[in-house]
Amino acid sequence: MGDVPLIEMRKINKWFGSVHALIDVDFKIYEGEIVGLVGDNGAGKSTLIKILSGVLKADEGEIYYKGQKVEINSVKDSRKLGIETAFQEQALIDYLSVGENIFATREPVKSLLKFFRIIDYKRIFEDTKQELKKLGLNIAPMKEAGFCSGGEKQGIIIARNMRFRSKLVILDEPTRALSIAGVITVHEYIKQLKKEGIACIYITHDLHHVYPIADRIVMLNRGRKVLDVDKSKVTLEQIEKMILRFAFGEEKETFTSRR
Amino acid sequence: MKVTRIRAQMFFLDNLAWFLIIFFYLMFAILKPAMLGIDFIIFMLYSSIPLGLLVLAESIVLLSGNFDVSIDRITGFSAMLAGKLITMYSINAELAIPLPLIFGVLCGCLNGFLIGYLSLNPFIVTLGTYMAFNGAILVVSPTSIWHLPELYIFPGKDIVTSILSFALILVLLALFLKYFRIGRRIYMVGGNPQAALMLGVDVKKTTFLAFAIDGLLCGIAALIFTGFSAAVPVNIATGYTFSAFAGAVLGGISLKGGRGSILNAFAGDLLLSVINAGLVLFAIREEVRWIVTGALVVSALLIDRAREIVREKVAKGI
Repeated sequence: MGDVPLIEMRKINKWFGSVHALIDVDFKIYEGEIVGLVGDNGAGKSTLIKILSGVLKADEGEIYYKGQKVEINSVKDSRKLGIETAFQEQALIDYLSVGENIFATREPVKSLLKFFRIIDYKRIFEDTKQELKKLGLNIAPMKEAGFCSGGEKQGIIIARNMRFRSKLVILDEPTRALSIAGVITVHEYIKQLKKEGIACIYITHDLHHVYPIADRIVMLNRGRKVLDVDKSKVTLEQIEKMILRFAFGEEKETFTSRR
Repeated sequence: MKVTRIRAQMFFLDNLAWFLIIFFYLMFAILKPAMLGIDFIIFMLYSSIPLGLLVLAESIVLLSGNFDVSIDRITGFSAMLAGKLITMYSINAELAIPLPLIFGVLCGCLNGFLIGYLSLNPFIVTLGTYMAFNGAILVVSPTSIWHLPELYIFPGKDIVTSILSFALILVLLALFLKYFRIGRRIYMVGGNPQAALMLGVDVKKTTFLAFAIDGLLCGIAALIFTGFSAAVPVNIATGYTFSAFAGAVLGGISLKGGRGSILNAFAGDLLLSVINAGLVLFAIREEVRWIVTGALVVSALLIDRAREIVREKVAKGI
């Protein structure tokens, strides 16, 4: 991992009416790093992530991509930077084919009668086949995504991330309502992303789900960042203790270990 | 083996409208051989066109995951306003032909703005605009409009022009939805709006566009309806909304959005026309035909549900 973070958010502030949802939040993630973003409901996790993925705009604060200041005004902008938000049920469009899902909104086009640019399905399906092959998957590119198994769906999303060289994948509560086997598949997916050098923000309210695979744990509480630690420097029990302290609101100071 | 059987069921249900067309046509033809003549077939095709355009309009909106109950009033209002202006200011027919199309698009844009950009409920919005357009028709003219220019009523009156223009619209629409990125967005937004948003699709704009195209098709339907009766009757296109809805769903456009082919939607329209032609041929009373139409709307829902069930089976079976 280099010294310059892949993404750095500085002094992010967001208000919803009179509610101060994010208060001077600093957040960074390095290439290939897995960051567990934890906190209770209403802590500001989703708001922070929506700002990063371009769904919401911060009222104050700056975002840097590899040290360069960037503006993220729409989902399109964030995708141009290689940021993909993959919610479990929200990553694929079931009725469309596997190929179309991988190339969705980035369809290759060819010209027709010089005036029109039409979707090049032949290229979509050929490229899809190759991309899936790299992952050792044998799924028909024209098959409807909704007819694929859970593992295959995961593969399709990874294929998409690899094809378009995603730098950062955001997973919002990927293990909510999943069985233990489901949680393991998600973890396999994240490990595969890391292997490809893709960073990952893993949002959850359940520390136990993210602790085993995270490199770093960041915690938000009532709009403030209260914890930012390398996993190697702290045990699960220690984090739990801190969480309890924040939950009962006695401790005002924050515990952070800077790298 | 079992998977193959379920897949066959799925194919059958997806293309059910075509099978039913053949079934009903043959059944009627056996009882009334007059239905076999080529003239009758052409007439049946011709008379399916006004509803056909509304089926396409409803299909686009259903594909985008929305709903439009105002389509027959958009058609009526566009036809009436255009007819009134043409007779009042004796507008040239060449200039007049685009008028109902423009009014249709504007009405569609109004729905699209309220539903797409303001995120209002599509059912209630279009119910509201249904009533508003219905009132506006009577404000524009409480009586039917006659004496329209010959050229203005030609597209709807001439059988060949009518059928060819409809075929062209159908093909263009099918190509647009399959091969153009913007057309594909409509399927994405209807299939899974959350995913579409995270994939960078402008959901609001796409919804707006679907309603604008819906309005355009209603505007074209207004022109064809006018030509059909060589006038703008006060009750023009009344009651067509639910037939259009039934045609689209019978043809396999999913009520959940994002699934279905526009060519099959046309099959839904054709099916309704065959059934209607049969009922007319057997001189079935109008009130009974209403009952049949109602039953068809409900059976469309049942078939849609059956499709869902079979698809769930396929998804689980593999």
